[in-house]
Amino acid sequence: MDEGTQGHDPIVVMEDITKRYGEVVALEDVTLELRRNEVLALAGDNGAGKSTLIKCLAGAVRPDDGTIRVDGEVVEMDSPRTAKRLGIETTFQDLAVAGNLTVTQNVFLGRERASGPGGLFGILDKSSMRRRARELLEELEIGVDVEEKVSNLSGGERQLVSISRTLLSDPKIVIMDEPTSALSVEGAERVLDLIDRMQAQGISIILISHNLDHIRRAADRVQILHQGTDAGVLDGATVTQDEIVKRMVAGKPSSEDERHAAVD
Amino acid sequence: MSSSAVDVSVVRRRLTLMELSRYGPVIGLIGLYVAFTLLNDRFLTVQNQVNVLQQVSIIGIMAIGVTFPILCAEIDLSIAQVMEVAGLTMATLAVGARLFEGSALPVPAAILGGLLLAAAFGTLSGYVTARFGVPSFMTTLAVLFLADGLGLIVSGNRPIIGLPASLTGVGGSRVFGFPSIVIVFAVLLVLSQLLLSYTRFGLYIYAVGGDRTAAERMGIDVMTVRMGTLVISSLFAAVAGLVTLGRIGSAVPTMGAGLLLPPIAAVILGGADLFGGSGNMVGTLVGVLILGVLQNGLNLLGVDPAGQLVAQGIVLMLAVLANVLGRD
Repeated sequence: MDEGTQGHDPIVVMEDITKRYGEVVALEDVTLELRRNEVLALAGDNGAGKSTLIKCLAGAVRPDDGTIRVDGEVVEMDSPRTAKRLGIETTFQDLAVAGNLTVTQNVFLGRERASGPGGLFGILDKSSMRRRARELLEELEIGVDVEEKVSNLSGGERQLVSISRTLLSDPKIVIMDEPTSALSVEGAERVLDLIDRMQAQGISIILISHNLDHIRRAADRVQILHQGTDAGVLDGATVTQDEIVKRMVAGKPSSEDERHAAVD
Repeated sequence: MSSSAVDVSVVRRRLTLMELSRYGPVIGLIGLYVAFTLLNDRFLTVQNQVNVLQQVSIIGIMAIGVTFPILCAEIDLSIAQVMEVAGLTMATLAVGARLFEGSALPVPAAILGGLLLAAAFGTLSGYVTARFGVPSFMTTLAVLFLADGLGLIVSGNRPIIGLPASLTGVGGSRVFGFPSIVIVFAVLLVLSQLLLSYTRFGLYIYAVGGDRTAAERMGIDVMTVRMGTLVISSLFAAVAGLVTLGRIGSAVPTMGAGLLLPPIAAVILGGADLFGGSGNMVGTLVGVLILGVLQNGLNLLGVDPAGQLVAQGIVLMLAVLANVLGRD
């Protein structure tokens, strides 16, 4: 294991994560290492355990076994709140944007800037939120009007809004669950561009995707899961589609017993 | 690509329909004003317009209240009976009659008693709906029967007369020559619009009404928001009950009869989305006025109540059609 982390400055290390749902083993001794400022793709067939694994990191699921380290410290990831406090943000596969609200309202949904009485009766500071949202979208070069209702946006633009929302709190790590699925070619391209820009800003990213072209376009390394087990890590720049598919379908080749051997 | 031309025309058609559903109610109201002004010279007089406002105030207050659950993709079918039981409770408490024989309370306490009872009903239907996922049209239907029965128990199924002047004064007096009931309506309307536009709660009503899953995902306390809207509509129904005491000078066990559907119709006439997430109090005011002006104008023209109902039915059908076609 150690040879995999030496000299690479990992920001997250999930070690020997195991999660069972009754008889079903969703994850078995899976290890994932996210290096500082890299884009790590997480690939695998349906039911391979991708979602469960990132939910463990996002605090939405508690693993039965294994440890999670963030910046070298072992952490108890007991709730989504804890994950957010540690600088980990997640975008959801089903977007979680409300179409009847504006871009600004969606960006700030659940953490509005408000004054006066707290809680539900706080008075919204609309102009400040609008300014910040505009600033954020400009920084990310997302050409969307912050006053626009989200239902008037394209699928790609909605995804951009959903992602930009995670950046409001200056996260260190952003997890993206299938951000490019269900998007047009142009929409996916804009999302992949945004991922590049986020990386340039120093954010470390875990990208779950089914699309092998998108993985190769965006990812520095590819972690593959097969039926809840670790199927190895491949280099994003040189990996072939065949190699990814082979491991997604059949798992780690038996010749490769040492973890991470393909990369290190 | 050839499909882009098709897309543009679809977008255009959708836009005009959306604009129609947005401005349709206002255009409709203006049309009614123009028509009735031309047809009858008694329509556009200060006296008659004050009459219209007075006539729509009770339905208007209930309509403002029920706008909250409708925006949140809920419905409250108990408003008429809650209005009744709250009014009856305030009256019997203030007089010390029937169920509360011999234990008269000061008027403010009597009013508070009616409001608390209404809030309890709203909390009950709201809790069962938000906590257990029973649709609000079922829980508020149950509360409709509960409130109806309790109203009969409280009042002994007989009118309560001899109400204190300070109780009937809320809805039955004049302030600078203007009916107090209209002032109550106006104040509640403004406060409600401010609540919707400027508070977190207002924003969350739209968020939950538009996409409950997204709202949940973003950490919004969806249960409290849904419950809150039903508590508010019950409270507004209770205020409607209070001002009704002033309007008719007594408390009558059947005073809520026929007052369930007009407020809901008014909200939809005003352009609120039938399925939640869009609409506002200004729209509800327009809807209330459309119903009121239609009735008043037809009255002046000598159309009998049967004809008025037919006219209201036609207008409502056109409104819901525009509402559904204009959905985005």
